[in-house]
Amino acid sequence: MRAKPKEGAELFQLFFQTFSSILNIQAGQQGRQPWILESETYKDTKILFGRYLQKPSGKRLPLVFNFRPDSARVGDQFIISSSLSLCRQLVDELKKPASKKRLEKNLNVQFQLGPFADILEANKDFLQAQRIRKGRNPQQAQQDIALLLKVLRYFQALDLSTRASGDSFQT
Amino acid sequence: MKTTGTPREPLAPYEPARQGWNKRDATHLLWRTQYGTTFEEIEQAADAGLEKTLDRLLTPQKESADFQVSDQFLRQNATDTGNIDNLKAWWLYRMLNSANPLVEKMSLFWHNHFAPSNAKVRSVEHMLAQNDRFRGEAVGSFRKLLNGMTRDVAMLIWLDGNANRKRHANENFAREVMELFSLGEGHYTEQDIAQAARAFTGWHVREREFWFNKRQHDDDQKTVLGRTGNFDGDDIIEMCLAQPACPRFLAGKLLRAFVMSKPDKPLVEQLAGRIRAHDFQMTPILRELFRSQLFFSNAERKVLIKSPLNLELGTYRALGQRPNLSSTAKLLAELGQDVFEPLTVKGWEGGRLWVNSATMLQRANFAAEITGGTRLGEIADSVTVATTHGLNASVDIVRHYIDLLLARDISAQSEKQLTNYLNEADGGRGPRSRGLIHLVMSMPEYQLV
Repeated sequence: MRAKPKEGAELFQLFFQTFSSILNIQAGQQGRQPWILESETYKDTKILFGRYLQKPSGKRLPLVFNFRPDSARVGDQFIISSSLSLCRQLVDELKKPASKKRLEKNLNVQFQLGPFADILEANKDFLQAQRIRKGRNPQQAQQDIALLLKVLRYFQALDLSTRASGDSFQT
Repeated sequence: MKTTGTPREPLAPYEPARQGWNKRDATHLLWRTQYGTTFEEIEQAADAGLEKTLDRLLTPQKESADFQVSDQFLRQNATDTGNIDNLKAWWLYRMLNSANPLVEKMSLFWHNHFAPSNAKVRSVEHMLAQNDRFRGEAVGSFRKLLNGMTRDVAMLIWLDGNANRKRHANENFAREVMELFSLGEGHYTEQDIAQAARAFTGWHVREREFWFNKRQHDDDQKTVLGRTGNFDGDDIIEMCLAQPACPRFLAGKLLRAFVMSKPDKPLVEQLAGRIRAHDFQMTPILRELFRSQLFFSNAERKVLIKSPLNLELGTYRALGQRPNLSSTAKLLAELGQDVFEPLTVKGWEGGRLWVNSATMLQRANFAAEITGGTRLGEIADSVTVATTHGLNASVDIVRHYIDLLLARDISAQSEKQLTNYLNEADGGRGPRSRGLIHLVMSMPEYQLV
């Protein structure tokens, strides 16, 4: 997301904290572990992220432990992601010189599909179970996920932007 | 339909050789012991005969590879996410697709008998472990199951086991053991409960496991059900099982679940005698019940109101549908049967209580949704089904669905109206064939099993 950094940074942080609190309330209602907000500096960029208060040990942790909110700001661009590793990858991506080119747009949302596909790949079982719940058999579920991953990897990134000038509005 | 009343020897074996074992008998057996039945299963059972069909239902059958994969995905996903809705979907999948449908039906029977709710337990892990326990003894030993429940973590949370301490005995667990799990009201005194509660003191949960907290256990003498001694929880269970009221209590429940809505006292007494004779082993008890003259008597066919599970899953199975399990679970809750979350400690009383003005409307909407919508998944087109079974004439297609879904004769006029609808209603053959299923499902008879 692109915006004026000074005006948007606090608002973005407020949004992120509120979002995390809502997820925490939901986790409490469902008997899951809550998380607390922490931060780290990665390549001179401050990343805010949620850490589980009591993450259980074990090789095969429940899937929910793969997801937690993360946010960062790289220049005038904000990142919100579902895992710390994904957030770091996005920081790397936005720090590349090509990404610094200023775009004359009011709103620019970029979906990095490659890292997203990696996350989905790592959680294929979860997605297959979801498809089976919708009435697909295991083979069909597997094919559905394979197709989704193929599409995501094919596009790599999606860019949604808007620009308003005079009486016109472009998407 | 002919009604011949209750047989003189209700639990004597039904003799199909003399009375003619046929598809109608097979359909009756399968709808009662499974969640619905497919046309292929009916033909298979009709060919195999009663004894072999009971063998299939009562002895472990190998699950298909497809089932095993899906089961594992759904089970793992439920524990991974800790989401009870996913656990519900997992169980519904098993009920609908397992090669051991009676085991799933009996697992539900025990779930309803002990009736714990995740609303208080709040743990997918514990509810799943308890569900596995129900399944493990579904057609096994009630004695073993009742004993197991005293150490079951979900049950101890459900009935406040940790609050049951030496100096402050909590009566919840002991009360339910007597009132709801083994004897029924009127077969114990308040004094029995108070004393039995002391025997369960210190049966606690620690670190998500059963823990015998010796320091909190009251090992003084107690007087329960007319006996005095230094009893613990295991002793109380055995004393309850030894009471004449226990097999009677179980007999009444089995008859209401599988045979009739209001069993009379002599019948309950007879089945209780068989339960005692088999020492609470469910397989021989169920075999005797399901092959009895009573079970197949005309008077007891199509007399039970379908539970929401029987209605929904039975329809899916009969029509060969792979439903959306999450949507199915939500609709079940709306119809009053939210698995893993029964409303009260008494479970679902069922019978007449399944239907009221609101749920009848929802049941009608279910028929409309399944034949005309996609929210719950799509059913196989009856034209395709007819082709598969080599049915060409409209009258044969109508007869096919009457046999499959109603398993009873309907008036010649109704049958003719259905045939006319299939031949002449607006729209193509496809929509008309779905409309036919909708009409059959809309008949009052479809609410009965």
